[in-house]
Amino acid sequence: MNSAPHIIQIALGAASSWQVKTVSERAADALSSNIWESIAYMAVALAAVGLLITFLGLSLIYVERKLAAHFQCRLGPMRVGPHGIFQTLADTIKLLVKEDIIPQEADKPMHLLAPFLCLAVPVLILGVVPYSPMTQIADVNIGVLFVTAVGGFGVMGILLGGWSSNNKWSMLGAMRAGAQIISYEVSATLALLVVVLFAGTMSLAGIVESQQQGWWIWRAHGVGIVAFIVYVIASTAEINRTPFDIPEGESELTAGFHTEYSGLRFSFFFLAEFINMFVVAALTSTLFLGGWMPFHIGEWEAFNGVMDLVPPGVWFVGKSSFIIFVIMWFRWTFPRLRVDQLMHLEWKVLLPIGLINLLAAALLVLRHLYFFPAA
Amino acid sequence: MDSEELLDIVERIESGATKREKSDRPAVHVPVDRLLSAMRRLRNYQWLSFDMLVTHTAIDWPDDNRFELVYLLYSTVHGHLLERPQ
Amino acid sequence: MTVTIRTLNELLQPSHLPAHPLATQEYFVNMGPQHPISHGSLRLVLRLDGETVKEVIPVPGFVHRGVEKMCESLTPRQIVPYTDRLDYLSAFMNNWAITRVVETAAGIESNERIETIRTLMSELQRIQSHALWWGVTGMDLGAFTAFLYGFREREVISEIFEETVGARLTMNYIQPGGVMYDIHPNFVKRVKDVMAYMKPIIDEYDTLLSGNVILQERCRNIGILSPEKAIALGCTGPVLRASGVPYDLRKMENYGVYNKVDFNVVVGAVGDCWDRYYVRMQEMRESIRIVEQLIDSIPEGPTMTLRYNLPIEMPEGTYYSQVETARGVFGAFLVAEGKSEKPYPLHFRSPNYNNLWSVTALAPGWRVADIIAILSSLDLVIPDIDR
Repeated sequence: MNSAPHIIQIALGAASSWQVKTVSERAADALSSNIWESIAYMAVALAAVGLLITFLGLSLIYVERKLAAHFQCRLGPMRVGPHGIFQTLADTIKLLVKEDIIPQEADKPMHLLAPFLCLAVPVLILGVVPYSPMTQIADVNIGVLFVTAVGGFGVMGILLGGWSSNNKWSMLGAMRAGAQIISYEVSATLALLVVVLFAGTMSLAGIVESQQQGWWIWRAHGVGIVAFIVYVIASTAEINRTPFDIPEGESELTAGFHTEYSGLRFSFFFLAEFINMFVVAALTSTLFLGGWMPFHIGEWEAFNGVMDLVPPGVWFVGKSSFIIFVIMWFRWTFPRLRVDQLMHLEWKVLLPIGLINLLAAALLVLRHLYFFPAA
Repeated sequence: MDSEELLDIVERIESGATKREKSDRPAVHVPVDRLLSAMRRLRNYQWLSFDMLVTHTAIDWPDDNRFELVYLLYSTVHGHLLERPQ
Repeated sequence: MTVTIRTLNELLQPSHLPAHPLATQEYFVNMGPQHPISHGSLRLVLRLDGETVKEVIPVPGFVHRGVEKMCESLTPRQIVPYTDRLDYLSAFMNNWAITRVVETAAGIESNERIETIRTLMSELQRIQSHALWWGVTGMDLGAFTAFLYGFREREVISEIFEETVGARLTMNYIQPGGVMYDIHPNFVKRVKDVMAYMKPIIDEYDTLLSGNVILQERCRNIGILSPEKAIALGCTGPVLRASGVPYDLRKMENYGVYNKVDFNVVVGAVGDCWDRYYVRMQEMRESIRIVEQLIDSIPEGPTMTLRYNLPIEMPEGTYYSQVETARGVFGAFLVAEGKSEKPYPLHFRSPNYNNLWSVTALAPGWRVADIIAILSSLDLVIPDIDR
């Protein structure tokens, strides 16, 4: 995919003529040259991904706890380190040294495999997200399709975990998760397709590039906003966060599909939940909020210039953080839905809205009716 | 309806029912073979309509080799309470 | 008349085996004794078909401590601290029930000041208990934040109790013949402050949870308990009132100083979870009204009419007294032999026991998640069920 330098030129405007090598280009170079370089690159990439996951997990869990605490008129972790910033680290160590219990009647290989499957999905998706014009591990030309396909794989881990635990509560949780995730994927995909229609490309980098004239949430005559809302709701359901945390449903199913997991394996499920949240936030900001693209208002050159001064990475992180905050906000204010209400919401409310929205989007694109159509 | 009247009515409708002394609430004794019919009447007669069984318990009298079952009935319609050890 | 007694083992047989390999089979799950919903140790055996509940079999008894038997070897004053360990969220009211039965039996006089203090404490505790229940309901339905908000208000009222009684949870305060200690000098001011603080807080509860569309969806028309069924099951308290039966001992038994204050008995219309929810919300408001009417005019007088070292003599006979706790009718049935001051048998009529069994009538046909809503709307305290 050769569009990457092209994007940067657009992003930095005609004034700059820098030649930046993106990570994906470096990767392509490294992999096609000699074998040692490829191995070194892979090792570095592996370490980087590992670090990224650890960092994301630790910081998101800390943020979640602090946010929850402040929503609930309390302080949250305060003891380990200043304002308790090392609390999650301490908890991680605790989880690492805990006994790993496998129920006697469990299907052992499946039981061991499930947490890894669960974690693998968000990690794979992290690879295609454009964090900034430079930083994208691989710019797949079918990015959106890849995200949907790999995302759909995530339910496997949950189903396996629930099934192999040989516990009725786990089983109930897993079955709920299966029904829920597969249903909501439909709506999420329909919302994604709206953006694909407008952008005319499936590459995530290409989608970011297409938002130079304005983010898709604004540009599309309300269709974008509807798609955005549908996507946020559907993906909140897909990652099992309150008000859709039915597969875990603490007060109903004790802990749902991961009832029988402990120690490190439990922490994998836990980590997967938080990485998933970041992935959803990253995708939402990439698709609807312009990814790393700065916020521009039409012809206001001075304003746009100031906005350009903020590095694209910061834009991306800022937008993602906002979505993460919204998802956490949901969690600490809403009660939980019931299974049939959840299904009702998906099949009778979100899905028709999504379909009509997609049709409307198609008509708009056909007639070039959206704001600031590309020249 | 005061407690005396209540007891009179119960005594009249169920043969064998006697007033129970030494109780702070209106209470009647009913022989065990009359229990079911007495209960039915207490519930179904409109002017009594003891529809709620507040609690039931037992008093053990090992010296006499017997035990008493105690039913506390309440009428949500009329608002009177009847204690019926039998 | 024949009574069929089915043992738990018989109940736990599947009702049918699948005739066809593709037919579904019913299965059992244990909800409890260790389960987040049981708030204690309550075992519910659910017979499920998929997620639909076919039958609920409550198996209480995990916290059975034999309180009633223990009471047979205790004097009335010694029994009092046992009662507040039954329903620990209605400790004052439970104290009051045993106190009333002993006072009736022994003919102990009480005075206006004592009755006012008892009423005040009970109503404060009713607010506290309902606030805690509100939080726990929120948590059960997945809104964890409500839980901590409920606890915040509980804390404020606990501090009032701590000042006067010395305890925060199991208050051993209302005694035969009076109350344990006189109220703290700060009591009146503190209660006024807290009542002024609580009024907007209950409105905040409404904005935070009551109006939430998900909560409404989860509660409305779920687990409808008809008034006839509620009466037949012996349900009392908010559970019965939510079904539309205006049965409140504070109006009917005429104890304490409830006849001097103006308050409404809150009743529901449908008898669903939402009615049970909202009856409690309104009861908090009514309790605040009662406290506000009483707090300015606590009469003077002694707070104990009985000398501590004298035994309480109860003439032979059976006695029954009941009070309205936060969960319903708590009664004490006492048989005195007239020989010693210990009761011969003592039976507690606990509201939670009867309210628990309503789940057998309410649950069939609903989903697992609805059981949660139903159970939390019943507001069970497990030690009170098992005694």
